[in-house]
Amino acid sequence: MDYINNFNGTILIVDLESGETTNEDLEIEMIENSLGGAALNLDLYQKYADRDPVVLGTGLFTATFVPASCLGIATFKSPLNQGISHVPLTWQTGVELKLTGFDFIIIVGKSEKPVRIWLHDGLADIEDSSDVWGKDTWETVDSLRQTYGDDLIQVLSIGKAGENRLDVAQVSENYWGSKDKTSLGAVFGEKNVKAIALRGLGALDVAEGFYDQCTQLMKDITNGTLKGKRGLRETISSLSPEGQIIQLVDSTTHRNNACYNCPYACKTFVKYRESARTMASTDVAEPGCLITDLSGFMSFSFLGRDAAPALEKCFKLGLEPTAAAKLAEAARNKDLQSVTETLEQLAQSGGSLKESDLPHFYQVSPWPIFTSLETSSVQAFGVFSNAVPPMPIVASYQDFGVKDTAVDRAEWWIRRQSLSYILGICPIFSLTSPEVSEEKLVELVKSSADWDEFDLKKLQEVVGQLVSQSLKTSERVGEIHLSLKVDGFDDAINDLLSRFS
Amino acid sequence: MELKVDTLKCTGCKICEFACNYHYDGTTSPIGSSIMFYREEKKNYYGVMVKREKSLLLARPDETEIVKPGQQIKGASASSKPILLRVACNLCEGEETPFCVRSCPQNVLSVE
Repeated sequence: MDYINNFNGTILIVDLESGETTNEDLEIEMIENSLGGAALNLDLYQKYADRDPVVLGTGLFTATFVPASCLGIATFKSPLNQGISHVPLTWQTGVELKLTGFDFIIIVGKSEKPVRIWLHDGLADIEDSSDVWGKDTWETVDSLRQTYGDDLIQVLSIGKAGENRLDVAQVSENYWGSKDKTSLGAVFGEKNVKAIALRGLGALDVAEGFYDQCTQLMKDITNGTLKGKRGLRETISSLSPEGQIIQLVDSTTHRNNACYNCPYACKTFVKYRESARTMASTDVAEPGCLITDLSGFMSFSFLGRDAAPALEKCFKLGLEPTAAAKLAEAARNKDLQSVTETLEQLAQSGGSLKESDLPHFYQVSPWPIFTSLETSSVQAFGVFSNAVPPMPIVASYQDFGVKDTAVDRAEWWIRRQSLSYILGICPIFSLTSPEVSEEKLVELVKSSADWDEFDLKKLQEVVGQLVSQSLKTSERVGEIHLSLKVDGFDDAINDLLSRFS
Repeated sequence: MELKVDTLKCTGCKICEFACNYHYDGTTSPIGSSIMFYREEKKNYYGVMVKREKSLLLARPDETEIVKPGQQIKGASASSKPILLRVACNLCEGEETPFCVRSCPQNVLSVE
């Protein structure tokens, strides 16, 4: 391969210790070996492992016309269990990141003073951040957008929990939390990084015929299993048809939102400080909350109508909502006021699912809705985010042609996630649409470059390697809560490990 | 013939901007499009603006407005400035269907 489209060709290294940034070329061989995304993140992590790196990366398809190509990925060592963790960055983060001009960003070392990293127009600035240190994530986003004069800047930031380097911290994408369940927020705090602000107005080359291929695939998807489907309501009823929660969502839904180029608008904005039917921009500055984290939202369902305001509070404090909700429930909080007090306390001094004898996988929050052998097994692997439902959404295992055993189902989920994290496709969307087959993705990879020798075997090899290498690189400490070890668990895990060895 | 926007169907995926830019210069980018996405994020208030030859189409969730040169735009922020510098939409001259219409997964856009 001599040339590849869809990438800028630049890796940025941010050294927090010296305060300097440098660029390196993204070599074609790196993409030939790993395809990019989480797989190259892991290679770069290993290269700089002695400097405790956080690697932010994009996939070959991130910010392209490929359906749901919104994904950026953060790879780091989780302080919760010392395991390698890949966090999916959705919404506009991955797209904005790539269009700043940097395909991969390696953040090494630790800053003495609070800083933010401001990436735009192929430039990287490390700036003093004492002006926003101590502010919550919402105030931080507002402040940075005002400082840089653009409402469309995307911000990754931490709140009080991250500043206090607590295990319950979560990094937030703009105002709305994230799929960080493994405490990337605490790693930001440890490095004294309050925020990363991104504005991407760059341009990526597109191969001839690529646009038409992508548009045809989008058409197949919107006429397939996803036809007419959107919103939190659809995801909840597909996974667990709990009537009460669905009614609650229906009565407060304002509009459903999608990440970049995604046909499945799985994020739902609910309003509780003004009527959900209000479409105009009113004087109510903060009318509600965008529910991006189904796991966190469902975990607060014991609060009924106040589940969404509780989620909002977690987002502001930079708290991981599933763990926070479970800890608040265990503390017998029954209303929003007592939950709010507990959340403030958690962001100040922390809390632990393990120490409270609550369900966890190596101290990481489990998927809260439904436990089976296959869902328990995939989360025990711990490589990918537990914010993503551990099963198909809207579609069924049969739609994806998966055999009817728990281990086959688990292997399918892990491979599907690996594929998404490598190529830069939303890992939630990829559980909805069998139309996005591995064969289709091979065709799109081949079209992105003059790469005739690329084939299904190579794709599957890279997908398996990301899982096995992530496990090998991890010396995961801790244990799995006994309640999650369902019948047949140990055998299933051994079988799965042998499939990825 | 003009571009029509059914704003409440929009889910804010922004692909229309990128598709429009692709028409002009064949790259993936939001920088040169005639259609621009805007969002007041905390209020979940969003839609698109379209630069036309002699006006600006503001497809708001609550109303559609056509702004003529010299008229004040309600609620404009720093992010809305670049639209005035953009190329006017030509409905992808030479194409059977404009790229933004082809790309939108929610059928928000049409030509009427």
